[in-house]
Amino acid sequence: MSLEDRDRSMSDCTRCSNCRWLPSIDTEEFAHVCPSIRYGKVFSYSGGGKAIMGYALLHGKIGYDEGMLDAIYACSACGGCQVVCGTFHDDMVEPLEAIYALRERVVQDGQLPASLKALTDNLRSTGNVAGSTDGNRGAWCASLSRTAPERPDMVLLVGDAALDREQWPQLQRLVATLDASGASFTIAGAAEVDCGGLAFEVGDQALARTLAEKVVALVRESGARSILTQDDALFAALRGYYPRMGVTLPVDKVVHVTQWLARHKPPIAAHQGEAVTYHDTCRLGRLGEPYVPWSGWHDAAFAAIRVRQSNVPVLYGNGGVYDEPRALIAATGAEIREMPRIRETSFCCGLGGGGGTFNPEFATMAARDRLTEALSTGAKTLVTSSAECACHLRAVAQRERLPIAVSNLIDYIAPVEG
Amino acid sequence: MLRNAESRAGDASLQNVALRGSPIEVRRIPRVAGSAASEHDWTAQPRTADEVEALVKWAAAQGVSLGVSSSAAHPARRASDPVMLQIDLGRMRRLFHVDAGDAVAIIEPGLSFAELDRLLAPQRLRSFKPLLPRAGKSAIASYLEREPLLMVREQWDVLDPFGAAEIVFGSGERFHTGAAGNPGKMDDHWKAGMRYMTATGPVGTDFMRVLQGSQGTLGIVTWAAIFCDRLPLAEESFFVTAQTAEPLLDLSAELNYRRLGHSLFLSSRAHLAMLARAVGIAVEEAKFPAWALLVNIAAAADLPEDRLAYEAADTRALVQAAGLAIAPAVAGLSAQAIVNRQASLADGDYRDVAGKHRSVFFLTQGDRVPAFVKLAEGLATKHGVATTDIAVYVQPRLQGRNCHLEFVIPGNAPRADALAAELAQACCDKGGFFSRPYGAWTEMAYARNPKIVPFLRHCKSMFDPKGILQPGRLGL
Amino acid sequence: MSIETAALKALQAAVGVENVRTDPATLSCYAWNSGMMPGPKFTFFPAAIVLPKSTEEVAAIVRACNANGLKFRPLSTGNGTFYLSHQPNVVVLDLVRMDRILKIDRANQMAVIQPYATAGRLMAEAMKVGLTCHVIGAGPGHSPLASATSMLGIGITGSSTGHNARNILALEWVTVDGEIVRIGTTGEDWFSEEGPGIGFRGMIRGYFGAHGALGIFTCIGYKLYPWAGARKLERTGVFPQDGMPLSENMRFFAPVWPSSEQVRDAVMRLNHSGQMFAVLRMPPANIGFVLTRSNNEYRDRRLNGTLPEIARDESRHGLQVLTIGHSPAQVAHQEKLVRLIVEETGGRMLALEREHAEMLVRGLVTSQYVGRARTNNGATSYGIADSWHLWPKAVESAEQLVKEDLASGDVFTEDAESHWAWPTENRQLWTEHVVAVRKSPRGGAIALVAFLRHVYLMQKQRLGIASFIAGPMIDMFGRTMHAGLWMRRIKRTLDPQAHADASMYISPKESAAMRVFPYVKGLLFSRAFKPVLLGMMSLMGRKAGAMKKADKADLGSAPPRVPESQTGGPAVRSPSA
Repeated sequence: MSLEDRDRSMSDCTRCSNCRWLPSIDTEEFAHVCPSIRYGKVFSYSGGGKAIMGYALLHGKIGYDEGMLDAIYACSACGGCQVVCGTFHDDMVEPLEAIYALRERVVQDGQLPASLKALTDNLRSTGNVAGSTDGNRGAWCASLSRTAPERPDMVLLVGDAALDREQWPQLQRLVATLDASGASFTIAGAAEVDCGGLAFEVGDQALARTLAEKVVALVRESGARSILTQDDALFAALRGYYPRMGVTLPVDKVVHVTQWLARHKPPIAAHQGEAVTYHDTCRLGRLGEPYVPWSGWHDAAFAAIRVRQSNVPVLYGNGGVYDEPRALIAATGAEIREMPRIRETSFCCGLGGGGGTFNPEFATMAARDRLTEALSTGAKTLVTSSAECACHLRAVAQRERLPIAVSNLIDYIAPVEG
Repeated sequence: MLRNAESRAGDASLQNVALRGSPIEVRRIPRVAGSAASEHDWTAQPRTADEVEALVKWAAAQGVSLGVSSSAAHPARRASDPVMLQIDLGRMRRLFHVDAGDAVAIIEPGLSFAELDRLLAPQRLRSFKPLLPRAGKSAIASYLEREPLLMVREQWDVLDPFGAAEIVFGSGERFHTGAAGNPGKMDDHWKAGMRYMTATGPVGTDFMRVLQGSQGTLGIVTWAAIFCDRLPLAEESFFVTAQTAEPLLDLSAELNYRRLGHSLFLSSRAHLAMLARAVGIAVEEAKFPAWALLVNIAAAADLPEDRLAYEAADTRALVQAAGLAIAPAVAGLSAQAIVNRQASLADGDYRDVAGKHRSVFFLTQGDRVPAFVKLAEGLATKHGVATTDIAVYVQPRLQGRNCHLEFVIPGNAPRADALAAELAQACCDKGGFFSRPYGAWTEMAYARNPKIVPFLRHCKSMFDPKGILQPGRLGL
Repeated sequence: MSIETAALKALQAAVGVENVRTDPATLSCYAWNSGMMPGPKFTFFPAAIVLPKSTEEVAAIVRACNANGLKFRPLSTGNGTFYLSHQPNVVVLDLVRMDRILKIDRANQMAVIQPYATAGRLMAEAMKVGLTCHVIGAGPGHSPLASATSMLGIGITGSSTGHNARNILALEWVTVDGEIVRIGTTGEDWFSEEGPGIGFRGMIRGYFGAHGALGIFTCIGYKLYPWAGARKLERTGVFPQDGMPLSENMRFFAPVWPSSEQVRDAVMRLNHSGQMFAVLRMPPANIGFVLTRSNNEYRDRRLNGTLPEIARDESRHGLQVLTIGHSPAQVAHQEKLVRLIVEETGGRMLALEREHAEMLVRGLVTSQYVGRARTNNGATSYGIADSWHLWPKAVESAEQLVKEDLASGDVFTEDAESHWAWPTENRQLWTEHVVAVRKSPRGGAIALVAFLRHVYLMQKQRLGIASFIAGPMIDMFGRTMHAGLWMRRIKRTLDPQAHADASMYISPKESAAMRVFPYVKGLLFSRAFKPVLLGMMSLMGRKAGAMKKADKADLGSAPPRVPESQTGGPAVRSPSA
């Protein structure tokens, strides 16, 4: 949706500041929902602030400058602002949609910061954000001796893990687990392409659409009725960004591996009595909620009550995946000690949405904050569903000598071999 | 300021201050006993706010100092002092309105506690009071002085029990505070259902708060709405005693936290002895416990017996948990007798057990009281005063957020004066907050916060630009 | 408006380069008219946004502003549009870095807080030791310090947590000259606001605060109140409709009566008891907004008659009553008491679904849903305070007032009126008439006219003390007993050079229009004149919003893509998705 399309909703921001806070606060130290304003302090870093800047830009009241771009991109587009805004204002403002539209305008105006432009350039030239010329996404599964069913139920997309050798063993274990449980699936492998999620998040929607269409094609080619993925970012892109771009997937559903595993209960590791905390990633959680596009108007019911012309529900992040990862951890015998900020109002680690690339200081601050929160629970290990988030959090924990281990959920539940 | 030699001219013009054909009664009073007849002050007894306003305007025009009292008492004067017109508000004793539903009355400043309670009784109301005030003490004057009230849980704010009010400033301008600032007259407001329950305002003003504690230096309150206390339908009073203050202070904090008890305060042995004398009981002081917390539970709303029962049971449970005991009376002095005395006040000051007394009082917090008591005991010893002679009175305020701590030193010997002076300074140095700095304490209190003083002077120059009201007080 | 280099350097010297922002994008977020005021979205951009970390830095900024001919204005959380300056050359102090809760003192029921310690954070910490704080209608995200020192400060738990104007203990104040002054106790002591001697606090904080026009408050002692509920509010329900479990010692009642007179009688008796944690009259439609997940659901359920009884029009003479006892005996007393009073005043108790009760209780305790109750539409709200005797007349008066507006088709109330009301300090009436208006220029003008007419009629009908009297309205409605005149004197005395921005306080000089106001107000607020007034409001909004060319020039180079719309955007229909 363009900035013009968001004109009215941006103008409706009441600047109530609620988009920075949890609606229900348990402890004063961990009350922020928005890592961006926690970092930037001034209002422009908040969801509402970005809506206001979007409006100001649209109406020619401001132009681009460094401060503006920092406020826009020192932000992981985690959507915390949107669920909290909705708590108070329903769909009146939808700050995350304003962020998407504003970033799209930034790209259209040729103002995308160089560090992010490098990523989209890489995507265009090499098909991966890292710009790796050795971009074979099928290498990780080349050695697997399995035969995919002729009519698979699912197609496995693994995202950028395919390009990260360190994650290959994990992926291979995952395949073995799926096979052992009788799952009917095929691996996209070398045919897989970048899903366009990051391109969408930084505002390059043209590129995102192109990539999305390639994903659609490969999925169609697979003949699968579902997509299975362990990649939270990919999950959010397929369930949230594609509908926003009007891209329709030729499948019935998109399933996260944690959902599948929780349902099929394969053998998993034992961590009896271990104190762990679980970090809901934004992209498996609130951003992983299936987005339902709608078009039409807001009417005034009973003279003044703003209602959607169609009865498409307002989203609050409830459709994200929250219970299954916890069920898997619990099945290991570990004791989950919940952080104050969980589920729909989880606090982002700061990595996604281009935030980590554009402003590492921002991403470090967010991770530090989250790790401190994890430590406050008394947990010794933080478990999360995203390999990327885990990697980021682990790096910050090590750099800052925070006494907490960080584990990727798939690794954490994997049975010890032998 | 008008000096003595000029007073004759002023005399003539004051006689001409007349309102609606009804001259204000003005009398000359000798400045100093036995002084020449020409050396006199004036006293005037206005009957209405209009008359007060006229007098203030006259004084401002003439440059005559104004003193204000709500009773016949006049301060001692020296021949060298400027001529003063003493406004005696003792004739302004009307109760304009009273409403039992909201427990609000609108009264004039000349009404004493005793008179006021008589007027309120038919509505089953009584005034909020400090501990054993003089019967003749003006209720409004007491509230203006921020005297600590016994009813801890009813005091939400320092302004309580004030509602809206009328003030005549030293400039001669009249002002209606709070809800009374609405257009229209008091009777119309009352008829419409307003009860002047909002003390603050109108808009960005809160002048009653400014006036409180100003010792008459800024303006004269000519009437005020006050919140009243409902007469209890059931009540019970008792003491909780201890050898040290600490457990009782802890208990008091918990009672206040749980809003248990209608009135409560803490007394040392010597203070209990003073209270005993006030209620007419002669007991050897040594027989009293070292410390006692008086708790009065009173129920005036629906289901009074039920209310009393739960408050009493909860209080007893707390007392027991603290390892303390409840006693309806100590050494023949019953707690209820003290409470009852609040309803039949005497003329004198209950603290004047040795003819006179010196009193050092300030604000602090309950948990810091023991340190001040220790300080006082140390200084008493240094000055040769028996520590047992120092009476200590702790009155929790503002629902238990802070307290009035008072050391009463009996007698008026120079030794008592010296101890009082040093004790005040020492307490101030240790963080005792002299929010009501009378006389010499003013300088001491200001020294703790010199930066506020210019702003207090701003108040003076705004409300009393000619400096006629109580010149010299509060160093203004 | 660009800032002079010398001034910028002075500000940077005060707080560090990284804590001074002058880029237009940042400034735009502090020039945003959220719609509470007529006019366009942006008028005056601040000269700079400065982020002090300490009181000393605040003082240094003030001095730097004074030395460089800049005005200043403090801002805490910035809810609503009260942060807006109506003039150029204003430096905004965003106090976001001064966010600490310095102390919570259980024994003495108080806290010491900085400007950006929000109510939600303070409440969470206070509850851990059995205390809670007053939360105003803006909800948990507001600043108690700002509310207590500088705004109105009133919230729905007033029965047990008072009124923020009266919740202040000692204050730390940076004067307009950049002096740091303490009011009340000093040093580490924050337990008293009074004295020494004169109660100076009454000069700088009235019924409504000065919005920073008399200096900046940087720290206060603040009253907390007993909380006998759980030390942590667990969540029930489905996000975002969070509820909280009712603990053993809580009782929640939803009584209704046939008339406003009976409500009055019941509230006065509940007040006498002093036992209520909260007593709230929330209009049924607003309850409906809370109990449904979206406006669409509310609309559908209202139309098909499936709203819970408490959210239906026939429950309009109803209350929510919450009691919390410290002991089983107290709990029993409270329950007996409420039931007796409701019965004896002719009321009955509504049955509530557990999840609805839990949601409403959470809203009562935290004010979380006050904002939600106004979701998705424009609103105006006008409050009065004094005795509960006034309640029936307040209801009747509101009914009359909204009748014509309802007919306009731009205003919504459930049935006849939309008062929120609750007792403050277990004795006073507070009522705020919240009317939903269509988010459109016409809706905005209607809201403003309704607000002005209500204040006028309320004063005329002797309906208590008016609130929300700020800015230009002071000269209109604060004339009685010359409150405006005194405020102007105070401003001139404390800030003779008019250093502090007084957009929401009082203008240095009374305008000619305001001088004739007393003579024309009868006509101005007559029913016949209403259409003219509506036109005037719309025009005033547009005129006030005309941006100066000089200001525009400095705001960046991107050309406008579409013409600027007025507050509220398109009138009825707006494209979405």
